[in-house]
Amino acid sequence: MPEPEMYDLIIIGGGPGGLSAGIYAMRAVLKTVLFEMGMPGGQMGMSDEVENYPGCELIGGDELSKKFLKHAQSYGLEMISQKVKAVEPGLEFHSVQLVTGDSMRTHSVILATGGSPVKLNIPGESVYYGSGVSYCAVCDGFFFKDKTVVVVGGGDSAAEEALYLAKLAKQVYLVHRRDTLRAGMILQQRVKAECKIEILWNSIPTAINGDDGEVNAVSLKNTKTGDQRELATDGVFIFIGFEPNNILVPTGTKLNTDGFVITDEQCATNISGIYAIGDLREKYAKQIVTAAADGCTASLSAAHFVEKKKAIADVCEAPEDL
Amino acid sequence: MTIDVNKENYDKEVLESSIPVLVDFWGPKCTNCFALLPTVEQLEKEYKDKLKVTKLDASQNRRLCMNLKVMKLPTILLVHNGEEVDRIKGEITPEQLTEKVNTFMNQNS
Repeated sequence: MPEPEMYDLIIIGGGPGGLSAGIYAMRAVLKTVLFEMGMPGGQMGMSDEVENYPGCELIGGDELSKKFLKHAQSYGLEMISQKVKAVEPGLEFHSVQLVTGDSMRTHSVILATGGSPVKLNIPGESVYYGSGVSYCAVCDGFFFKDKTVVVVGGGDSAAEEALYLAKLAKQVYLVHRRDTLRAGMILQQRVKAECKIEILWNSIPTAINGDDGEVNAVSLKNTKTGDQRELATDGVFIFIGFEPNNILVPTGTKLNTDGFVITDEQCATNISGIYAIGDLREKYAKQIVTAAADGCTASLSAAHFVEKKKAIADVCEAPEDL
Repeated sequence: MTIDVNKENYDKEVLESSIPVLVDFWGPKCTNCFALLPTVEQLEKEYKDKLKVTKLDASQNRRLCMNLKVMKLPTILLVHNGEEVDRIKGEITPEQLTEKVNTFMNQNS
């Protein structure tokens, strides 16, 4: 049986981090393949508008995703729409196993698998998922035109999505467990200025209720007084943070207590030749621009790593009389 | 060939179809819907005239979606003899979709 093909770099994930890594890897002439099982762009593609990516004052998330993709493809980046099953580190090379049973060998791996929305884990949440419960306002918002919706959360995502939903819905309740929002000041100002949004401070949802297979109310508890109330709503949009998609992170990789990968400033993990970027790694700001920066850093570091590895291999394999 | 369905032709193309039907609910901003498209097209090729593949733009057919209780994209309905046999919604992987459609076709063709 022929040996699996050998790559310099395998990138897993096609969000802004993975695609940026692809651009830098191709420019560094690394034999590279990128795996993305969904639509390239990742979370970026699910944003209605992006207005903090330098050089683009206002751009649709899907449009920016297309630009990243086109840029990466302009260098001839090989992309495969296939699910990766596992990453197995090795001393000479790393292996990437696919769900098809195929295996690929590589000198280095960049993990760019991003994150997934954190769930509330309250009664009714999974029952009514897709029937009023959503984690993506851009995808599902238009089902709630002229209706009442509840947005749960207090960070940038919750504020952005509440503002997006305010363009469609009749009324938006922003439910937040504290008495101040965590969102950036500009978003806070916009939320407070939007007459369709009412913020319900110090409140947490305790159950999502429904009838005939659809959401019709959410049970809320006041965190200060303990008072319970029921709020009629047609939909519940949950944006309380992201958890890392770390299932492909090899055993032995250092993670923090929340499951994010700990890296050095070159985005390198504690396993030689394996890098983690974007929302998967522990860092202060999880933004498109920082994911893209991580992709650049990791690819430049991987290029140096691969070059060094090949140089050592050449010396070792050189005939003794040379 | 994929048929675009809407409130005008849904009953005729989907509910009154003599062969099993796949209804692919999509929206212009739903990236996950676009990600599933190659799999839907592959299934259409595979089953040729045994499976009717239809697409419904949810953004243009909100009322129909409400009537069908579709409130999440992507959603795929598998319909036979006017009855909804299966519904797949949310984060669907190509593998899951293929498996569901294969099962549906084994049981309904």
